[in-house]
Amino acid sequence: MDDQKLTGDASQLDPEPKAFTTLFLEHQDQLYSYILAMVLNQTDADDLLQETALVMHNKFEDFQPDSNFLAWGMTIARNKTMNLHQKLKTNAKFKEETVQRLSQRLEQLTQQSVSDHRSQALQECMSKLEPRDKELMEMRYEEDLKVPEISEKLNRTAKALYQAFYRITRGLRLCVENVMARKKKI
Amino acid sequence: MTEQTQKIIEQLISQAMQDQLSHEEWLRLDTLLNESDEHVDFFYQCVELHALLRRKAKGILYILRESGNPSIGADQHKLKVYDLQDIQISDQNKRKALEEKIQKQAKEQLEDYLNQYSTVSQRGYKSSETIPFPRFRWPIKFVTAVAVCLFVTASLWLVFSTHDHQSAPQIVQSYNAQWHETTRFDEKQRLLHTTDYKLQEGMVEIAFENGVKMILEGPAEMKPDLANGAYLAQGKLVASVPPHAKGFTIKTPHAEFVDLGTEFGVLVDESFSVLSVFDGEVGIRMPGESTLEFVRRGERKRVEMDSKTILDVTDVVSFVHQIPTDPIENPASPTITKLIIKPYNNTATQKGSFSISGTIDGSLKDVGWFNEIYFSITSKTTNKSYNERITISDSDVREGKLTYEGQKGNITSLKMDFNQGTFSIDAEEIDLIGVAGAFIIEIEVGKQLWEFSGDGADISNI
Repeated sequence: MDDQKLTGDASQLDPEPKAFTTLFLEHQDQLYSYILAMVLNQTDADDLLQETALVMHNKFEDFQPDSNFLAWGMTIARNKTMNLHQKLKTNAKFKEETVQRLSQRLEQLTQQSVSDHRSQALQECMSKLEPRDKELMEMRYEEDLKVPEISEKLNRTAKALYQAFYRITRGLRLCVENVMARKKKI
Repeated sequence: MTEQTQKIIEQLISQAMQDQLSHEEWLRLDTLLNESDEHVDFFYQCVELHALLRRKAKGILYILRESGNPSIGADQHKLKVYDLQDIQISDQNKRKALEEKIQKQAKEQLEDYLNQYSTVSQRGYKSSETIPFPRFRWPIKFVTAVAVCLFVTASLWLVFSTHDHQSAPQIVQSYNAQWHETTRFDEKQRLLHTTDYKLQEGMVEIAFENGVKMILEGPAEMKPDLANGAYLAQGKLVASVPPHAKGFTIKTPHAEFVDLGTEFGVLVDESFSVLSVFDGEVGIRMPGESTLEFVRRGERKRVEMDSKTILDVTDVVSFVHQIPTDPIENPASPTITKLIIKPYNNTATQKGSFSISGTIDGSLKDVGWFNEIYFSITSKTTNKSYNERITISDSDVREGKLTYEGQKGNITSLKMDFNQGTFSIDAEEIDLIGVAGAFIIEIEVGKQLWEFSGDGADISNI
């Protein structure tokens, strides 16, 4: 019944409006980057993306098919982030004005970002990682292990690991920039 | 922007992502970002890399994954992740078809998930906007597709916690529990959501179908809400909520306490409610509000009647987390009205039979929850014993009567009528040699133990 309603509303503009899931899957990476930039914490970003998805899904009927889905999602994500920030009692967060400023700039940046190409470049760069570094990245991003846990597992000091992650991500970023630049030239 | 500044920004982000950024360093990053758009652009470039790494590791439906739980990692590690480039699909059409297939599956699963959640939110929760996403464990297998950062689903299935067939919560343990006379249970000690459960004293442990464990401490008045939660009008409770039952909500006259994957206690007095979070996080929703106020592990909060503010509680409020496991007190004695033991009933096999019946005191309420019956007959002189454990299924208990027509072991029939207080047990082909003298019979059901001591005179030797 809901489906009929959706199609009915939107059919005046577009014979086949995109379903929520299609739109969301298209933009979730940009939303995630955007949220992550505001909170700099993977767990919080995961939670916020989930909450944002739910709100968007619940309010999808209000969404105008011809308007900007990503911009709409970003507004919701920003509100969610601000709510979280207000509740966080720690100082481990940006100042409110900074979040505002960040999000204004990020909203422009994210819209332009060509995530697919970067993702491709990143894949290329990751394949060049030393096996030892690859293992670290897997533990961190796939197994969700924190440095203290990895430290215990690999018998390496936490300090060395923090440094290693900094080194690896920096190396990956530089590599991605190079690949992108090279592709541009071609 | 100097390379030095780049390095500083990059280093600070790296530290922040590991929860290693001090307050001063946050301020430093803050300042740097406010200095120029160039800094912000570079900052975003670095963050995007972390986001991409996360996405690559987790797959297309990464939003549905449980986060922050290291135990999940183990499962994921087992995933066989293929790379579309490795599989070398050079055929562009095939590749495209594969990508489309993945997209289609992902969409279907995401839609199912969102719809499933909306269904839950429609019952009982008004402001679905603020309900936390339940973070289920998703056994999902992924294959990574590279070209467009797609992930091919080798096999993908999602398990939903369904609330549709939620049966009533059940009392699994109790301690000195005294219920108000108006409180009624069904025969299996299940709590119907239409009834107010008034516990005058003592405590009970209640198991909800979705895995939530609740200790209710009397005097208390509670009404289960089958959607996912309960209303506590008075008294104390402690709820332990497994991850998949996240969102479990305790409503009180003063506020709502929404679980976010945790263990917490709620105390309700006439004019206020107190929340104590032992583990995880709980959200408080004030009356008429749609947003949640988050309360973290170790924190205690107090909500007053007709007040919009949430206060800190400095006093320690004691909550019971475990029902005391005292030995069974005062085992009731059955009165045996008929006892026939035939030790050598079958002369060929040297096995005997017995038939015993009588009256028992105690009701199903005293018995508590049970899923098996233990029966033993022991010779006082030789200590030789025959015993049997019989597993009872749901269908064996009806309206206070337990009827078991046995296929299990040697017991052929076992009947207990808790309304009439009668019982009977029949068994065949049992080695009763040595039991023929003085003996003890024990019947244990739930937490009730009946003991009967007899002498040789009770035995009818035929």
